[in-house]
Amino acid sequence: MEAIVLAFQALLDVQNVLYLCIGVGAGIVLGAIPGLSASMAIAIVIPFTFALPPVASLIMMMGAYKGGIYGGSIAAILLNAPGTSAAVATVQDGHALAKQGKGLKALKVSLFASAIGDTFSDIVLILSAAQLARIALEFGPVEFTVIAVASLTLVVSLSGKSLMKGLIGAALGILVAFIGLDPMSGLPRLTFGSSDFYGGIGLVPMLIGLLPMAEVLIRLEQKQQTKGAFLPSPKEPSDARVTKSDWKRITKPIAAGSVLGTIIGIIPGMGPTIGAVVGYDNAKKLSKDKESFGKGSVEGVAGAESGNNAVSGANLIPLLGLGIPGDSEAVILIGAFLIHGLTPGPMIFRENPEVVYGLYGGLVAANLLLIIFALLLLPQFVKLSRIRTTRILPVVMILATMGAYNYQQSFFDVIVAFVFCGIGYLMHKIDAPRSTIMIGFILAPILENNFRRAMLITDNDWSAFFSSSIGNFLWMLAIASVIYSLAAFARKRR
Amino acid sequence: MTRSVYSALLGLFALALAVSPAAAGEFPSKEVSLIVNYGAGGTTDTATRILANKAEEFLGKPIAVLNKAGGAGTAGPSQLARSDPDGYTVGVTSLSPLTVTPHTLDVPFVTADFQFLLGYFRYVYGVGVAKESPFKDFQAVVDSAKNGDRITWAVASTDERILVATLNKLTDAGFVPVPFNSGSEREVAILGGKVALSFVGPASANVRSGDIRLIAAAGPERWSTSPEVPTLIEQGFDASIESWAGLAAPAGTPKEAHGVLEAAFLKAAKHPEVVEKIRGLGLDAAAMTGAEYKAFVDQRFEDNKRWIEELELNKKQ
Repeated sequence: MEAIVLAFQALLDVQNVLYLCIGVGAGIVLGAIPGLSASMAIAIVIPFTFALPPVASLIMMMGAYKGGIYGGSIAAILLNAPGTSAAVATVQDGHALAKQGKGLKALKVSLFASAIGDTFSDIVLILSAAQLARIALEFGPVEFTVIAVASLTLVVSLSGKSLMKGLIGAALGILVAFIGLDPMSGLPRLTFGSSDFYGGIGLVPMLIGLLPMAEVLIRLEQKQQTKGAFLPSPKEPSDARVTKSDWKRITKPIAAGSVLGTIIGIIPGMGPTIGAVVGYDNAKKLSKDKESFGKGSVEGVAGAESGNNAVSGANLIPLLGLGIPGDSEAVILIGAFLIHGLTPGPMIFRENPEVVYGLYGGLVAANLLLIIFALLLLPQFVKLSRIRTTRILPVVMILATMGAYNYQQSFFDVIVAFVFCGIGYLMHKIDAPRSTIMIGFILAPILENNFRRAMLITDNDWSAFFSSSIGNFLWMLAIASVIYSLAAFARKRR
Repeated sequence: MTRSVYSALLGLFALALAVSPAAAGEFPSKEVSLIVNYGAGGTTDTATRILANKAEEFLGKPIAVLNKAGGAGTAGPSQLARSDPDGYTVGVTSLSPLTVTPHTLDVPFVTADFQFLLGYFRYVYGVGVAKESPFKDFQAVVDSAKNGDRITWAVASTDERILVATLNKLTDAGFVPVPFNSGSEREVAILGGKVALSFVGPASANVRSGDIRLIAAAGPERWSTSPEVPTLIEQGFDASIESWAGLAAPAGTPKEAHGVLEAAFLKAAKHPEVVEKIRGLGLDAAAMTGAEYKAFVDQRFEDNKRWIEELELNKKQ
């Protein structure tokens, strides 16, 4: 009860509300720019918070974080240029909807799915952060190895028409992820003798090349299309809103995405991108209309977006409960706590309860503000995409190039983006799905690092992978997922 | 363009000349950029931003902090070495990328490419165990290893690997270093009982709450927050990690600019506000002049070279 009073007190403070608004607004805009991720949105906000009281500065940063993750889906849907990697599962269906004149509908589905997923995981956080945080400790190298294998099975559901092409894409992603420094010895691997490759290939420049830049090439080729607007106007009023029948279709994916995203958020190191992919995969498995996935399914958008936003609230569970950040955004939040003399972790509930509950209040309010801000801003964003294609394509190309450079102020990343632009274009030509490259790329380091760690810890004892109860449960999920997906493929062929 | 536009531009230009204090020789006359060699929001980045924030006051011009992460912290110094030596670009030259990494990777810089300005904090290391662990001090760990137990040890940097390898050499305990990507991954492993030992730092909430027990400080001094725990050296094991963050300008930076920068950053590093905030991050706020930092870097470079070759950390195993 006291908790709720403290939370409301924090919200009645005009200063707190003002900073929260700035945070959410800045996050949406920064997140919508390709290459500026949610973590960069927080990092940009940090210096402004040095002088603020702890609660105000923390909720401003949380606002920027949530706004940033949602903002990523705006560019994904309208420009086919995911602002953040968390939007990678949203891109296909979101942009397909926009091409049918249903951009505003997709943006609203994404908005409501994000806000609901986020609120759900915030509630789980508020009710049980301290207890649930211990679950994270059950996950060691063995369990993470099995999770990575199980997650790789999601490639099947993102593969579209050809399973073989999807698998080749995933393998390519895994291969690219091996470039850089060997994670165990720190020695260079596949670096072609150049120190530019030491940092590995960046996720953001690769994503920018594969999707928005390649999209520009593809659009340029389709001559008759370049004459009109970049995106068509809605054909009927229902294309711009979420109708009753849409709600019926997206309720289940949102509910499932929220739960799955929350679970993934509790496990450190998984992050919103995997939340999005799992949410998407699940929406597809639940759906009666699997054919529409990849071609503009509102269920797909809802599953992906509820999945990635649910991670953002649940991420704070290990942060507050154990002092361990769940992903790169939470790492930055730790710095913000420390600057204000607070140590996130088990002690904070006793030492600074007013900060924790103030933060809780801010989280819930941020979700409401997100809906209000987004509904105000969305029509403006959509107007931008009505501009003629001939004008918008160069702008997308410039924004994408800048985004690749901005990722770490490096010209090398611009070259990476151009190379993957070529690869993305070729993949489109042979009709192979580009999203499976991303999945392979994100999962490969999780799989490799944890597999090799497990081997070191157990002294090369393979039976360790089958002697953990969480691990065994995950094996069963993986096997079930593969059988289910292969059966779906077989049915389609018949 | 009409004549009036031209004259307006000319007027603006004249005004700019009049306003800017660019009376030749005055340093600084414009913004200074500072390259941080790790990502935004990490410990090094946050501490450096705190320092830069204060140094702006003494410099009289803004300092723009840019992040250039990658290559195990060497991408930042690489860019710094290639920057114009006019005093308007400085960068973080932390000890590990300058003195450890060059022995395991080809890096496009040498120590002589830099003019060091100062050292401004020391990273703090310790050896921790989960609270359920029977180990109370480091001798107990060594004894257990000698009895044939396989002791795994979570590490997150080459510095830490060197320390484990050195201790293996000293004690013959056969510790198995298990590399993790970050301090927090390491912490999950030790809390969850997946490894026996882990390096830890004072900022960790779990050290403060007692869920992780510090059994030895791994630096040259005891922790100010846990003064009762002796260092490895005090416990009879002659090994420690000492790692610093420092700033440098590219070689060839004019003397005058170097002096102004060194004075401003040193003053900031010693300012009580900065010291308090850096301590809050779990770092040891200390300051070295540019000359002291250079001598330190040179000595460490040779030491690490010898160790890495001896321990064969520069070869694939």
